[in-house]
Amino acid sequence: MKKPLLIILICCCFLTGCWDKRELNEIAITVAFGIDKSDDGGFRVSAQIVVPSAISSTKGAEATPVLLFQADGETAYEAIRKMTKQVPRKIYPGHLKLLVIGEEMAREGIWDSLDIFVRDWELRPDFSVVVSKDRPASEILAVPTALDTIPANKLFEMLENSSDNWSAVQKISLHELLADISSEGKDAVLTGVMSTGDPGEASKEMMGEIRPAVRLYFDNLAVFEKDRLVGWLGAEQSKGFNYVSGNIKSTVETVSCPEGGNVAIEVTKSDSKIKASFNGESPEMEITVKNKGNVGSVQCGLDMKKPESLHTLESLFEKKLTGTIEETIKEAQSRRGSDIFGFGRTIHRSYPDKWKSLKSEWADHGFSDVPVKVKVEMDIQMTGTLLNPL
Amino acid sequence: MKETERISAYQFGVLVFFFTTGTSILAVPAVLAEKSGQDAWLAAVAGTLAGMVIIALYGVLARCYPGMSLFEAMEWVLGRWIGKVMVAVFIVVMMNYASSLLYYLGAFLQTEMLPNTPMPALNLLMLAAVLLGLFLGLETIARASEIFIVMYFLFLFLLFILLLPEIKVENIRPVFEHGAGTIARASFPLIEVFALNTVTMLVIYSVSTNSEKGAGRSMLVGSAISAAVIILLTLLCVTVLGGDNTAKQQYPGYELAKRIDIGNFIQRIESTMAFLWLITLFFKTSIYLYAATLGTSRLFGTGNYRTFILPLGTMAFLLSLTLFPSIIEFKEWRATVGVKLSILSGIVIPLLLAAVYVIRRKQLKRKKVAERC
Repeated sequence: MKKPLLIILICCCFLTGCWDKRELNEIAITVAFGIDKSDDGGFRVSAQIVVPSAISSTKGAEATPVLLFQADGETAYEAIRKMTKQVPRKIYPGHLKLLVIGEEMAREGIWDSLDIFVRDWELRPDFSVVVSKDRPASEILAVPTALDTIPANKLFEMLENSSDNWSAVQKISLHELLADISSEGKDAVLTGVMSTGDPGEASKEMMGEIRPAVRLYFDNLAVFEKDRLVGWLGAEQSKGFNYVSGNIKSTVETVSCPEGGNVAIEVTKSDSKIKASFNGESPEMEITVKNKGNVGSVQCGLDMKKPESLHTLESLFEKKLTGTIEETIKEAQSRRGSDIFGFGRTIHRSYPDKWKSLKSEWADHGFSDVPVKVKVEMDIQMTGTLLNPL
Repeated sequence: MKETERISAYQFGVLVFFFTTGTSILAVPAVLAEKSGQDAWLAAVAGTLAGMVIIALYGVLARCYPGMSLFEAMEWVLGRWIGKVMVAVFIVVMMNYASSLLYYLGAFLQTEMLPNTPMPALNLLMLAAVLLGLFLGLETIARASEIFIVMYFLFLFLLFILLLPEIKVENIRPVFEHGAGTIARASFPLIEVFALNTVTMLVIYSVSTNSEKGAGRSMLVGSAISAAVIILLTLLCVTVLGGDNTAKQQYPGYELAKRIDIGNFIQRIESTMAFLWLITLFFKTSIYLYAATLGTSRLFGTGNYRTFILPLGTMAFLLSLTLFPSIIEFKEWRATVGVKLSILSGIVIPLLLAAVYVIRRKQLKRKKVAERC
């Protein structure tokens, strides 16, 4: 008598359904967020949302592949929830690829905008963070792209591709950024995203053109002090920075031959080591960058059959890179508080006792006063399929 | 009346492992890193070493009253009335722990996975499994633990291997920056959850194991393996997440699993980490509730602990929903009330038992001989 009743009761527990179920057609898959300052000083969040029917292979590119929604709020979270007023589905950020922070916002500090992206359970901290230079993030996210019709995906892959093969920009994920901002003696950098032409004129018709007037590209590195953007590193210096921080996977450097003309050298491997030492009470830094590479193209009369030529090229490369890196360091040190190379962290790790006394003045003048020695080594191994130039 | 269930020394060791690992796998690295930053793993070493000493002492204590459970020993050593008071105190402590674990589970699932599911439903799901296990008896629970330990180590091994590419060794430098004092202080919470609460295992130490000598060894081996797991996990947290970041996380172990990304292919597998935690949580809650029901049946002199499973289970369920108004207050509770309960059950009561035993040793031996006749 009792058993059937018990079974019915137990069944009740398991047959009530799922509270947290969400079907694919109930969520708006968000691939990119943009954060700007709103007119009243709050947050303006733009969300790039995929239109599933438009990217399905059967239908082709009839409809626009993504939609951009925007909402203002006193907090980023509020703004995101407010979007439901325009979006019929709930924002689902689990597949977020890119977070674009507007320069204006970044100059005031990004901590407050980032909190929600770390705190929210649905987000995974492995998406990339970039800063939109000179323009609000919402304009960047409104530019349609070809090749990959979802702009966020395209930007993400472009970033990845460029940091692998040109190495002037850097793919920085949210958790790397957080580690940099919160750790002692190291400041953050973020890659800049820009556009050619006026993004306001970008239209879908533009996609019919072979050379669209408005295109997005990555360049420059934004330099942060704590969580505030304080300046930009130019293209050459960005590369210098990446050499120092060991982020070069592969890149190309052009050196001028002694008798005129150029040689392009492909860097295939680059390792850097930052060492701290103490001269009495004052710290000194030593940066050693070890490279391996090949000759990529030769446009001068150097006799490539002779080993000396390679040595000449090596020393030319070393001289050039040393110059670039020294310039980068000078530029960074001119902005007192931004220890983007992590010199402070290096000292902290090797000399924890001495760091205690240096710590308080590091941002003030410690970083900008520290002398830095740069040593570059280059080892050229291959010359491609040709020996002497054509 | 005595419990007739028997588990082997190996099964006992597995239960000790699950019990001592307990909540450590998800949350403990953050607690350690809060005070000691990148030296958290040193705090883990210190905490588990000190914990092992305490657990060894529990083993010595258990040998004083062969063939008896902790509750029987309390009455035997302290006399009927004081003994019963101690049993009652112990039950209260166990019930508190059981319900705090249920709350912890509900809170974790709600923040990381199922935000819209009401907490009673989450707690009840776990509790239902625990109560079913208790009805089936300790032998069944022990056999289940034998099966789960294999899966447990498989997943743990996977986690370690997949995280290897994410390790940045330089994150642990500077080593020993915080000094011995801070590291020792940082390790106290670990000593509490790792060792002091393990006094609960004494409830099933001798009454339910085949050979007591084997059980003593199992207790040490089980907790040693668990110590190794805790140290390794803390080391992983520090090297992968960094010391400062580990301290900021609610569930650093879970964050760790989120970092797994092998070739954009093996990724988003953090649920496996939650699975590891759910297993240990199940066994820890089961043992707490088992101890509470066994103690209650002892308190009222009834032979069958199963009578009390439903009433105490209901109580634990209600307590888990009412004891903690918010996650912050839960953490506060752990740091204040929880610590006091641990000291009471893990230090005061065992010390009292040992002291009185030493004083009354001869008298007790006579009493035992008399009982045997």
